Amino acid sequence: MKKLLKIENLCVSFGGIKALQGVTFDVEEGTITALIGPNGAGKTTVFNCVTGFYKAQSGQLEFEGKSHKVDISKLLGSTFHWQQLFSPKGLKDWLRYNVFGGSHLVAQSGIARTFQNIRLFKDMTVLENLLVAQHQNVSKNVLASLFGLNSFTTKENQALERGLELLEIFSLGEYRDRLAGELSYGMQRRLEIARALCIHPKLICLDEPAAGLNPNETADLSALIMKIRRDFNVTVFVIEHDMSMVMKISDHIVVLDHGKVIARGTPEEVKSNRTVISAYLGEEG
Amino acid sequence: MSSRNQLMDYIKQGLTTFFLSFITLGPLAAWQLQGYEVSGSILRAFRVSLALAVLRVIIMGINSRRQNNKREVKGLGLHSKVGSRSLSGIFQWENHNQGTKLLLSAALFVAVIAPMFGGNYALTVGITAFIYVLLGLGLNIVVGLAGLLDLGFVAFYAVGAYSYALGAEHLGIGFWGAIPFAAGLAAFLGCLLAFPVLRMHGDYLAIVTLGFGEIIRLILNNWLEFTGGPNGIKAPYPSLFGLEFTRSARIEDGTTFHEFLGIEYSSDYRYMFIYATLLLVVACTIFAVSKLKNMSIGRAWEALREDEIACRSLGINHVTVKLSAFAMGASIAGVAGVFFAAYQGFINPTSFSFFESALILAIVVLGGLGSIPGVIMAAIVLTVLPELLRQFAEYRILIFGISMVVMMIWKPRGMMANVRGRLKVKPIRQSAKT
Ligand SMILES: Nc1ncnc2c1ncn2[C@@H]1O[C@H](COP(=O)(O)OP(=O)(O)OP(=O)(O)O)[C@@H](O)[C@H]1O
Ligand SMILES: [Mg+2]
Repeated sequence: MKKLLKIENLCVSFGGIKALQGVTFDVEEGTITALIGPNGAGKTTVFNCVTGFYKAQSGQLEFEGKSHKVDISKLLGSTFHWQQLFSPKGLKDWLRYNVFGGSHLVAQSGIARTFQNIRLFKDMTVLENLLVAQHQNVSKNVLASLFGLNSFTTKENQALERGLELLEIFSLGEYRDRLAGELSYGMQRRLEIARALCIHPKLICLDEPAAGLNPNETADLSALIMKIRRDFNVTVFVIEHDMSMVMKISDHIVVLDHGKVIARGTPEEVKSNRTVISAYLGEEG
Repeated sequence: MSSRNQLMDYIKQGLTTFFLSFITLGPLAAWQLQGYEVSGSILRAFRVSLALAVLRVIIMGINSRRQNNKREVKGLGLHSKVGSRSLSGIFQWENHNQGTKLLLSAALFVAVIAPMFGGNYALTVGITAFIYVLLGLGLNIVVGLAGLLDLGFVAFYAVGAYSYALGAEHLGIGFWGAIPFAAGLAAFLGCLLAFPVLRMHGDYLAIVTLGFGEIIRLILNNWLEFTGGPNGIKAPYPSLFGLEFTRSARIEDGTTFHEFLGIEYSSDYRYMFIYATLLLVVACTIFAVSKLKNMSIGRAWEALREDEIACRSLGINHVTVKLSAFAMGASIAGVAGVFFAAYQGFINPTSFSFFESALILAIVVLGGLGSIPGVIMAAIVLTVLPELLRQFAEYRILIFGISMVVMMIWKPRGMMANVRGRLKVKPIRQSAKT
């Protein structure tokens, strides 16, 4: 199968803490890949590197983007060399990536994410949350919008439509005019996933989507994740502590401990892996 | 058939408006003060009511055109696959409730007819109020929508005012040229300020912008040769098609406004002209800002205020969004500055002290962060009330402070809190579906 995301030898440290020490694995296209590990293992740090919020000290991050292959660490900019002053292309690249660059370019290349502690636009309505996410598809022409020209309204209507449809799929249709911050916790989690899907990602990274949900909601969420993989044609990369859910939905599991990959494989392989049992699963039984 | 119905509707509405305004406004419009005598003329009342009726019909016409423009939208391919409930319908945003709409139109109406009754003094108060409305709308973009606390907003106001005065002196830029020039220059400075503060939030941002405002004021104060320093600088009076509003023409063989029309000179014409242009500019700004709020850039501003990290995760370029907010807000303040200079005829740095920034911020916060009608209301209240309270001039700041505190306790989200857009989806009628 085609490799969508290749992570090679990723190292990240915060001061003295070595959060990641040479993490290597890949995510195959069309799969649900889970990243598990005890608290503080560095899972969220991997996500932050993949989505361009942290810059890794060393290592390779390659993503098979919407249009072409992207090197994620390059999008985040590099240190300035004085030679760049003399080459227009070098200067342009530096400006583009360092001054205007950053994680939004990673998102534009096709990686969407949700956050461990939900980050919705709390004072905006549910529908507006989805419209914000579709900014790339709506017309940015100020004049067209001022005079309500067709080019503007057509695209605006399409964005509305997609937003409304997503709300239906995530059973949030009746809450579309409520403020996002007023929704219940489970709904907020769903809305965050819906919002991430709005940017037409190839890869969606979910950081503990089932945290704080009851068993029923978790089961619904599992079904939903399977459904979006099928209907939206995305690859799902998920961090989760709920083992029953992970074992049920994932095709491939990567186990992280103290910033190192200690095991990879199918759920069965991981379940029976001795290192994993002693480091992590052992606690449960 | 429907067009005939529409015509009947127009006539009915027009007549109703005519009679209503004749009854309510008639007595007001008919009486006219001449010297010490009051004279009545039924014709005047008739004319005013007729004008209103025509206006009403025109507005109806525009509205119905807009209704027709609203397009029906079919679902995308997606929902047939997913099998969700059909969502076809006519989309329509509902941003303000009926009350605010009514209030805004009432305010506009008062603004249009006030100069007919108030005279010179009312005009000057009105001009000040409008300038603060502009400033409030500008800062509302930066603080209310984008959530970037800016304590040095007055700097852009100063830049606008000085670019008119200095532009006229050194570059020969007239009043009309100065408006885009000042807007552009202020926007440029806004971007310049935005770059160093891109990675700052809250308190730090506030301090840096405060410093920026002071720097601009100090430059204006100390660069004697260029800006005239504390003594200030003369700003030319505005002109209309080259006609000046002065007693005698400033330039050789120029014509002044009163000579051109063959009427007596009066400073009222200048005020009236500034008032009218300002009203137009304010109306355009309100229109533009409320449109922007509902398009991608406005939504991005608000999203940035809510959560910058989430914005980035959705592919929104936070740099350009911040720059655009600063630039838009600054350019509106620049335009306000041009009007201030043109109205005062003279400017010096004391008009651009930190107190001004604080006042503009108070307007935005009191009105309701992000709420356009609220900001307009607050700007008018905060400029007109001090005029009404002239007797208590010494206590003005005290009253201002107390009312601030009371407001924040009583209504922490402002006089008219920002109303979120509600989406109305009108289902398509059965007949339309064949
Ligand atoms: N921004 C940061 N600054 C300093 N240290 C950090 C930062 N982010 C993460 N760390 C450290 O890196 C290590 C890994 O953290 P990370 O958040 O990736 O763990 P995690 O596997 O997601 O844990 P959890 O299951 O609790 O979410 C921790 O020791 C944490 O303290
Ligand atoms: Mg985590």
